[in-house]
Amino acid sequence: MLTNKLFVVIGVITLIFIGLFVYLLFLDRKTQRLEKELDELLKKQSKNT
Amino acid sequence: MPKLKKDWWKITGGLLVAYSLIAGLSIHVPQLPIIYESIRNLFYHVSMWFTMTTMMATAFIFSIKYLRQPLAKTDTAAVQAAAVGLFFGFLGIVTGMMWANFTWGKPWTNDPQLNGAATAILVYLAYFVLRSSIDDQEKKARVSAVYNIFAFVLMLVFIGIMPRLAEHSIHPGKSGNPALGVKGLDPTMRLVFYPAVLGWIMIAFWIWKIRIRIKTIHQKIAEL
Repeated sequence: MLTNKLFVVIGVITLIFIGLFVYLLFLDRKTQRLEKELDELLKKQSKNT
Repeated sequence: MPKLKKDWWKITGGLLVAYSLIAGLSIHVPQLPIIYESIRNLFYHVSMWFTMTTMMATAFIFSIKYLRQPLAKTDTAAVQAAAVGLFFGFLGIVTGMMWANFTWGKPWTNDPQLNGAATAILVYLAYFVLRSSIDDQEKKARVSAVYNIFAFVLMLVFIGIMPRLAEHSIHPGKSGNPALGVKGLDPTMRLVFYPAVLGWIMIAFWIWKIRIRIKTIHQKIAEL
């Protein structure tokens, strides 16, 4: 199995999945930043009124 | 950077899926006629359906919760779970068609399991059509929660019960097929299959959480 270079394919597939995983992690952080920004905005607004 | 206390299950999900990709392709699998090496698709194709069912069950629970106590966030949780579930359902159908094309000779056979899965997908598509057709937010949430409860029961009937009652199905794990059911699954394959299912479910939950948060941001902005 590992002698006929299947490991190359396994490597490629795993790398793609890791890429997607990191991307998801990135989206998670981005959402978190947006949540924070919006909460601060809402706080400011409630102070003004 | 992810915080381990809060995000451990996201990392675990990723590791489990990565493990299933590596181990699933490198372990030795039983050589069965017709399917041969494509038996490895079990780790990936079947996981999609398990994940879909879990997400639909989540949507079902949140719909019941909504009817007991109507909160906007409960409705959001239900819809987003159904959306993620539908996505995995599509992946299940498409991967299944690809597999079928090489083992049964054509992408679609009129098999009770396949038709049941397609019908279940349609039932959930109707859920989203129903939602988009009602403008009033509360009415939309209430009517679609009721529908979603029916939808989940229908899905269980279409993909879980009807194919088993059918006289004949070529799809494994159902009636009349000697090849490979989950019960007759090879022990080494179990060691890859169960972690794969668990991993994908964790990833699906993660996507679900992000979708809920984005939707909540939308709702907050709309209220500004």
